[in-house]
Order: sequence, then C-alpha cells, then structure tokens
Amino acid sequence: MNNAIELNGVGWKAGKGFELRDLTLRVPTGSIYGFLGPNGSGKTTTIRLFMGMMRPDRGDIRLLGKQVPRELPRILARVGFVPERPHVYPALTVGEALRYHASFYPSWDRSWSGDLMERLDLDPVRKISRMSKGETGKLLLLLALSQRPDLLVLDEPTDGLDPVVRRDVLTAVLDYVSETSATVFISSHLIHELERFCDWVGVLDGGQLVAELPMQSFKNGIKRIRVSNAPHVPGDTPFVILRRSGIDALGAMETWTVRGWQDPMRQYFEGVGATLRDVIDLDLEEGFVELLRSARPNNHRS
Amino acid sequence: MYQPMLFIHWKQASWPLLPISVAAFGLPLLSVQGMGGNVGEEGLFAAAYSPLAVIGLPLYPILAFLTGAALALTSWNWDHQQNHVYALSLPLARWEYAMLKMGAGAVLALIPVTALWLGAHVASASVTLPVGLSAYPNELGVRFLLAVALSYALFFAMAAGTMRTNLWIVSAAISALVIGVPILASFGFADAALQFLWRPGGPFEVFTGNWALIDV
Amino acid sequence: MSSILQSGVRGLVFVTSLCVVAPTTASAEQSTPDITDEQFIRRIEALVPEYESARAAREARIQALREAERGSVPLDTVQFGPLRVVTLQGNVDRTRALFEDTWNESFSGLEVSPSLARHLFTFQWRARVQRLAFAADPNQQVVAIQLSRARVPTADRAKAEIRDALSRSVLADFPSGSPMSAWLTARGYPRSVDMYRLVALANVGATRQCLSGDAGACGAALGIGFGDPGAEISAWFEPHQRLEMVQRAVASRDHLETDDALVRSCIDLNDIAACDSLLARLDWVSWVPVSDRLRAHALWLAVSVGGSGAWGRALERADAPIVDVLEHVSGLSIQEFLTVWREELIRNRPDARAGFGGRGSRVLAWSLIFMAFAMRSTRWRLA
Repeated sequence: MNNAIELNGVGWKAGKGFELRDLTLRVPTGSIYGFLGPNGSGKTTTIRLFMGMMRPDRGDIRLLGKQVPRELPRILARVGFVPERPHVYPALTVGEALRYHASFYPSWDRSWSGDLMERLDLDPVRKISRMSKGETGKLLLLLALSQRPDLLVLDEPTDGLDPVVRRDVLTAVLDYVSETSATVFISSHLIHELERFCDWVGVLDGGQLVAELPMQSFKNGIKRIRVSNAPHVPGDTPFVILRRSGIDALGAMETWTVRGWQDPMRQYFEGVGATLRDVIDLDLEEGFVELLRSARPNNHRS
Repeated sequence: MYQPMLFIHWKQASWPLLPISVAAFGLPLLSVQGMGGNVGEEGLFAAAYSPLAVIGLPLYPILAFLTGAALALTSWNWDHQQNHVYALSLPLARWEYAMLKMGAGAVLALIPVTALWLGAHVASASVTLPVGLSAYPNELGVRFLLAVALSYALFFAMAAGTMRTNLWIVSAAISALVIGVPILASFGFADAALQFLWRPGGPFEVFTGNWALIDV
Repeated sequence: MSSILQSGVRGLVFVTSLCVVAPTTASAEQSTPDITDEQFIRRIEALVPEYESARAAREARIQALREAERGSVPLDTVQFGPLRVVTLQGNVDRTRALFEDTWNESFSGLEVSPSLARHLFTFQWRARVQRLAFAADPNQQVVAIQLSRARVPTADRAKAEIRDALSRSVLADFPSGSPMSAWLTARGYPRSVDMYRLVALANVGATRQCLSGDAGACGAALGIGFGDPGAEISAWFEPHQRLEMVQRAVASRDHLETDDALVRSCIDLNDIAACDSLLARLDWVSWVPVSDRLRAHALWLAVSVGGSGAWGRALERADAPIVDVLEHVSGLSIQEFLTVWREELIRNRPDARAGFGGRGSRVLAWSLIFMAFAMRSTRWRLA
C-alpha cells in the first residue's frame, strides 16, 4: 500500500451548482498532505467523499488500501477525523465525550489520552457548550488522536483559532506524526500555516485539482521571470507557463509566471532567441495565487 | 458501545421522560379518585355512573403515544443538530448505529412503563372492589408497553429518515385523509377507510379498545 | 302563475308585511304612541292566514314531488306476520330476512299488538334517498329504518335498528296512566351486555346485591318492589338516595302529598327514618335511581321468555301492577323471573379486560416493520 488516500476520477455534483470534476488525488502513506484551496473550492466535499459520508456520482475511492464505502467501518476504525465544524454533543462534558468516543475504538489509548488532555489544558468536567472555540478545537483533536489513528484527517482544524491554540494544535499533530509515522491529511486555505510541515500539497479550485506536488517543488518551483524578445509561441518548454503578462509598450519585455522552474532551464531562452532578464522568487502565497489564476477560465495565456 | 449510547440518550431524554413517568404513575391513581376508597359509596346519585377507572381514560393511549414520540425524537435530536457528521465518522455500520440507539430507547421506555405498572398496582390496592368488578394492573401495564413500543418504533423510523422522506410521508397521509377518505365515503366505505388504521390487525389497533384499569 | 311562484309571492308578502309592520309599529309607537298592544296583536293575527295558506301550498308541492319521485324509485312491500315493510325492490330479500330473524329472536309474541298494526315500516339497507315516497294510509304511523350511507352496513346493526323501532312501536299498547306506562319511561331495546355493565357500575347497593345473587335486590333495582323494606332498603340504598327517592315521589304529585307530616320531616329535616316509612308505602312504583333502560330490558326479556302469546298476555293485564304483568308475560313467578333476569345479565358479562391477549404479537409485528424502515433510512449520507 503506497497511498493512504486514493481518489480516481471522482465526480460529484450538487444539483445545478457546484461540481467536483474528475478528481484524482493521491496521498502517500506517511506523508503530511496539505490540501489547499480557497473557500468554496470543494475541500470539505472531497473529505466527506473519501470519508464515506457522501456518495460520489462516479469514480473510485480507496482509503488505507480499502474500498470505500464497502469496508467503511473497518477503515474508519483507523481514521481520526476532525471536522470543519464541531460535531460533538454539546450537553456532554469533556470526560463524557471522551468516554463515549472511546467506546467505539478498540485502539483507544486511555493513558495517552489523559496525558494529551493535560497538555492541551482541557478540563474533563467542563461542559462542551460552555467551551470556547479554541477549547472545542483542542477537544476535537484530542478525540481524534486518542484513538491512535493510522490516518488523521483534519478539515480546517485551526480555522478561527487564536495563534496560541493554533500552535498547540499543530504541535500536537506533529508530535503524534513523529511518534507514529501516521499519515496526515490537512485541509486549509491558510497556505503559510501548511508551509512549515506539509510534505505534499494539493491545490483545489472550483472543484478541480489544479496541482498536486511535493511542498518543496511548490515552494521553490514557482517563479516570476522577466523575458525580453520572448517568442510568440513558446513551443515546448521544460517548465509550465502559468501566465504571460506585462508586455510593455515596445513589446520587448514580458513577465512570465512559471511552475517547475529549475536553474538549468535558462538554456531554453538561448535556444529560442530570447533573453532571460530576471528570476524573481515568489512566496508561497503568491505562488498559490498564481496557480489558482492559471487554473481559472479567464486566465491570460498567450 | 451500548452503555455510552444509553447514557447519551438518557442525557437527551431525561427532561421529557421524568414528567412522563410521573404522569404514568399518577394516571391510574387519578382514575380511581372519586371512588372514596370503596367503590359504590361515593359518586353520583342518578343513573349508573362509570368511574373513570372503568370507562378507561383516553389519556392512557395518548400518554403512550407521547412517550414513544419523545423517546424517538430525543434519540435523534443531537444527530440532526450536528448534521449526522459524528455518526457518519464512527467505525460502525449504519444499521448497527441505529440498532444501538433503538435499544437504548427501548430500555429507557421501561421507566414510564414501570411507573404506570406500579401506579396501577397501587391504585388497585387502594380501592375495595365490589362483586362484579376486577382490577387489571398487569394487563394495563402490558398494553401500555405495547403501545409505547409501537409509537417508539414509528417515530424512530421517521426521526431516522431525512426531512424529505418525512415530508413525503406526511404529505401522503394528509392526501389520503383529505382526498382518499371523501372518495371512499362516497362509495360508502368511510367506515372502512377511517377504521383501517384502528381496526383489528391495523397498525394502531393497540391504541383503541378497553384501557380500563378496573372493569366489569 | 305556478304554485311555487304563488307560494313564494305569498311568503314574500308575509315577510314584507312584517318588515313593514314592525318599523311602522315602531314609528307608529314613536309618532302615535297611543296604539295598544291589542291592536298590534290583531294586526299580526290578520297576517297569519296568509302564512298558513303559503305553507299549505308548499306542503302540497312537496307531496307532489314525492309522488313524482316515487315513480323513479321502485319500491316493494314485504309482509311478515303483522309487519308491513316498504323497501326498495332490490332489497326485498334482505329486508325479509332481517325482519324475520329479528322477529323470531325477540318479538315472536308481539303479533297481537294493536299498536304494531297501526305502524308501517320503511327500510333502507343503505340510504339511497332521503325518504321513500309512497302513498301511506294517513291513519298509519310510518317508521323509517335506514342505515347511514357513510357507514358500512352490517346485519347486526340493521337488526339493532329494527329491534329498537319495533319495541318503540308497541309500547303504546299500555294505556296512558297504567302502571306499566309509568314504569316504562325508557324506550328502545337495550342490549344485555350494556345492561350488565350498567348494573355492575351502578352506584346502588341493590344492584351490587342483585349481582351477588339476591333476587329481592334485583327487584329493588328494577323498582318493582322492596320486599321487606325495613330490613333491606337501608342495605340497598344510601340515606341520601332514599331521601332523593322521596323527593321524586313528591315531585310526581301522585303518590306523596307535600303536606304529609312524614314528608316534611323527611325532606325538610332529613329524617331518614321518616323517608324509609314513606318508601314503605310505595309498593309498586319506585323512584329508584337506576337507569330506565334496565326496566325496558326486563320487560323484553319477559316477552322473550314468555314465548308465543307473551305480548297478548301483557295486553290482558295492561292495567295491572308491574309484578303481575311480568309474571303473566313470562309465565314465571316474580322470584323466578328475577333470577332469570339476573342470569341473563351475568351470561352477557363482557369480555372486558384491559389486556391485549394474543393481539400483542400483531403489535410487535408492526413495531418490527417500523424498525426495519429505520434501518433502511437514507439519512446515512450527507447531501
């Protein structure tokens, strides 16, 4: 088993509105996979599909090597899930919620759960309805981690949390991963948050996966280059042109946004009679924005 | 899994269940009020009167109906509020989850049923029955249990379904009543139409008939 | 001008007159305050003949419509013993069977009833028309028996309606003022099962002891005698019940005089001993607070027990005391008859238990069906 999560050609449509089109996604086992996308791009829908909460219209889904939804109960016993919105029963206390949740997971680690509860500073007698957003977020993570999952699925786990809580949550995740080499699938629209610890990144926009690549490539591979005497038709390039823009009045200087850039690729420009003037690094957010822009239908490409 | 499920259901259902149980205990006692501890000594002087205990209060089947409904609706209440995400994320087949819930509710249903059974025994013991009258506390308890079970099962099925399914059911029921019954009545089958649900063998048979604690 | 239009015009004239008269009267009262009540009444009385004439014309029209309707709904007459029953042609066989069964079960001694001969019955198994239109002898009383269209008709229900109609029709055989006519204040043909329940639930010691086997108590419950009232009446009736019995007797104006010292003592001073003494005087009529239907039930049981000729014997003793009538009709002594009556009640004790018996399995089956629906719920996906 190489992939903890596999989606092949998955499609799903909600009436005449939103549609997930031909989604093919692979989350390597043991990786920390960041699932990026703007609000409304379909991240939560994707998660619900591979968690078996929704039925796809077409396509194939495998989770931890097993078919979804056929073997779903067995799969979910090994999956820790933190949803976008709290799903626990508000009238319970923390302790009651833990006992309830624990009853469904044979792999529940009671002592470790207790330690983690202390670390996350949660009071077992506190009622969930009276907890702050941050405390609830920590509780959800505690529930997910205490069952010692092989796959941890986090849907915008830090959304709306203050920086301190956010740090606690992410630290707890990282600690768990370092101990167990579990696979983590974390969705967010906050790119800089994922930047620090994700190995892989998938970018979703408008129901389509526009990019899926190692984080390093994502961080380093998107550049803005300034080219003079650029060819009208670039031909076969060793990199992916995301956007061409900024043709000046004389038509001499262009700005290209490219993906997958590596330094030896300078030679290409010599081959086409163009001159590479400048290579500008983009931060992750700028790169993310350029990726999204390039994926959208009104992208300006030559 | 079952114990925590039972605990969760208790947490949700305790607030309607306690007053229902008090009512279930009190109803048989209320029904023998006016009997003055000795049937025949008090009451109206005129044509024969029927003590409440004998004619059978319609409150018994109403209470049974409400008990089942309250248990079923509270069983699914939190799930509906949280959009069933929690249940769907648990490593449990859907039918298993529903069975656990159903079993939890069935156990909780024993509380008001037992309360009524105890109340019926206390009420029967508190009156001296004359020749010709008998008390049936056990039978009343069993009937109540069956009625609660039916009501619970019906509402559980509805509460477990989608809002769309329930709207279909309610629309069909209303259409049958508003359109179907008058049509059948024009052919002289109103009796049969309206009694279909209540007649022997019908789904709501248990709610009709003799609910008397004390009878001839 | 057609008769309807004439009637309508007359009616309109009448109403208009009223409308004119009333404000005229009011304004007359205002403008001429000296009009007397007598004059006002005379004016109204002057209009009454117009009203009567319009009403007679309307009745005639309705009768004519019925005649026309008669031509469109084919009828037939069923003759069975003294009974004549008009029914729809398609219902003849069923009508005959129902009346025959009912008659043989309960009324076989009634062929001599003079009242019955004055009644004509109509019967509809499922009411097709409001009334069956036919030319009836004005000296005969028409009794309509019809089962509602809205309900599924059954033979049992039809026979209950027939029994009720027949029993009401013959009670006029007892002359007004006779003990039986005073005793039978209820009409109809009560069911034994209902009477058992009535007796079992009655708030009267007499009925309790009647069920326990005391035939004398049964007589007291029926109001046909107290036996030895001094000893038993206090066991059968509560003091406040005995007081009320005296009050009813006094209110009847026939049996107890209000200026009687004992009456004053009983009613005004609540002297129960005085009440008991008064009740001892009431040897055949009773103000027992038990349902009148019980008496009707006793009479019809006597007729049933008496068999052939029973009603004729009742007519022979129409003016006799009730005990005599019941004995003569049933052919039994009053003690024997009361015992038979009690046994009839006991025999019809309803199977009235709160329990559900074997039907519990059906309820469980329905519960399982609903539970199965819950297992199949489609709620198990989001969206």
